Amino acid sequence: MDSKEHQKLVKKAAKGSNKAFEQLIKRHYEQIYRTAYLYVQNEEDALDVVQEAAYQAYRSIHSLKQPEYFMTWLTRIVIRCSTSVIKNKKNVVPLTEDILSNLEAPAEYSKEESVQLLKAIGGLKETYRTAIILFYYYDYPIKTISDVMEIPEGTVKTYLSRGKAALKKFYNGEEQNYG
Amino acid sequence: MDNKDLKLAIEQIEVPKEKVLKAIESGLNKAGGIESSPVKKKTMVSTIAAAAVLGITFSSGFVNPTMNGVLAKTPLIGGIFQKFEDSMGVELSKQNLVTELNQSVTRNGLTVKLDSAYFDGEVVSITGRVEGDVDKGHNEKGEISFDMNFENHKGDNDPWLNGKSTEIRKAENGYMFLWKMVYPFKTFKENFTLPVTIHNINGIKGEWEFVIPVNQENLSRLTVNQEKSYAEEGIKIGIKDILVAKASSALIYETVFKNEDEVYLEKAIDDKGNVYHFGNSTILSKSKEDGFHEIVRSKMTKVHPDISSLTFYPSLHIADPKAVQILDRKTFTLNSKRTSLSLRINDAWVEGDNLVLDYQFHGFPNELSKDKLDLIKNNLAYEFMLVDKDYVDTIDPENPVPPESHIISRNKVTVLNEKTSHYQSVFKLNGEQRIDHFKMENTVLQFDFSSFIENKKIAPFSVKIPRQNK
Repeated sequence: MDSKEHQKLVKKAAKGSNKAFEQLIKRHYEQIYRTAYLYVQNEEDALDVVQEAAYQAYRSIHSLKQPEYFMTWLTRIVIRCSTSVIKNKKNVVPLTEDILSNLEAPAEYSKEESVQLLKAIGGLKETYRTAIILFYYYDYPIKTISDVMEIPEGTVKTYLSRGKAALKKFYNGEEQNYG
Repeated sequence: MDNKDLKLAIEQIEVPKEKVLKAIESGLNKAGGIESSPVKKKTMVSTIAAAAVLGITFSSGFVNPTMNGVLAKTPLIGGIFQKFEDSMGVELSKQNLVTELNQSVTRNGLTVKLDSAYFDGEVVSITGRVEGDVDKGHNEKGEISFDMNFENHKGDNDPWLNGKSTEIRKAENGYMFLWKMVYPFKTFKENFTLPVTIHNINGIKGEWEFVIPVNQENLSRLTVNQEKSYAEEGIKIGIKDILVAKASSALIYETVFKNEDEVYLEKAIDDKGNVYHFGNSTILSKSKEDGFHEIVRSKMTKVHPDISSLTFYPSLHIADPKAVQILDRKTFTLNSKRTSLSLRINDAWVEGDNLVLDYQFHGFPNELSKDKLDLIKNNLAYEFMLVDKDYVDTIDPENPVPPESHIISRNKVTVLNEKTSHYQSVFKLNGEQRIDHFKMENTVLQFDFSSFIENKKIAPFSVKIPRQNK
């Protein structure tokens, strides 16, 4: 996205422009939803997270002082809402057939593999999961992840390598099962 | 497994677009409801409410066979509005009130074609297409951004861009778009031409220039001129006129305040039980004698014929000036000027590269929900500001970008004790935001109570509506 235009929109939203805010948040709807889904792992809760995140973001957009931080700021809200849904529910619904049937795999990529990976991400410890999502899905640099997660950069690196190791272990294990 | 696999896997999570967009809208709607809100919320709440209503009108069009029958008979142009879920466009094209355009400009391999324009009440809409290799620009695939201006305006300083929205749909050789603008002027012209210049599309330079004919027939005006005073709150709301167009209406009303508060019309209900929502607002005039006066024109749901009264449901947002204290002492109280809220600062100290505040919030009701507590914690991270005392006056409240190296507007909040509303805030003095040559005694602490004050619903009031001419 044109970052200048994006920043203009953010500034307008912070000043109170209704349309600008709605446009901004709707531009990112896929990312917001998928992030939520990675945490809560079902459509219903993911939609709740989207709603709550939109609500909280709207309530505090006026205090976002630096437009260039919009995306990381929004991501932080989405993650916070996701984890609070998980905490409230306690019993996290695991990945099920429901997601399996929802997946539409491109030809060159097997559906089975994706499911295994998502399952694996879902099984990660929360901190590892957040680091992994921000690094691999959002393509954020370590520095930005450290800002979003409010932890030192060194810790981000640790989470990433541990998360990746756990994923590999899970993934390889599953792969063998599916042999 | 490699890095690409992860991303690919995540991107295969199917996104139920309509549901997600609806969830966003409900979130925004909720924010416009009972909770407190950012200062300039007036336009926001109502637009979103209106958007939601339009959404419903639209989707019911698809289950209603009569409506589908009608749509089937509408000309091509009606089909475009159908794709954009623009019920206003569909309605106007049925009445043949949409101007068909046939204008096309090609620059740098991109062709912009404009197909149609309509003007209804205070809404001006233009549809068109971008054809060519627009995805080679620097946007993500499926996204289009226009850098554009209307008339001879430049940059942000363009009244047509306030409240302008853009919808995009994938089309055969590119994308279709629908722009909606809010007519920004006080007096209406039935026919005028609107020059449009697109400077760049997804970063690909133009210029694409057009002159669009814009027409609106028979916009009628219902004169109401009735007002309601709220002595306790020190406000007055006067309903002046309702403009009735073919597919929408607009309300013109005046508010008078003792303070710089804001009033929101949440909805209106007529004597037949129909509910009306309000959309984008244009401030027609603002003055400050004997209180703050503002005349506003707001888009509203089309007024039904044969109604005899309308009842409005207003709510009030109280503006609280920022509480301010120089950090030349460690213990003090920041008071909200207009509510009983206050912050007791127990201690303030510098620890390494951080400034730490230990404080308690007073004046909340005893029992706060978990949700509310989370919100308080969330907002506390944004509502403090540390400002170099020499720069306090240079901050433009209209432009929230702070003077670099002289302000810190973010902090990390820790809840020390939820029951006693006891918190700690840590400000990073050497983070991305910083204050050069920081000294506590040269630093002003500002706190904005506004977002902790709940909107107050005030009594609904009714006005008589004159009969519409058929």
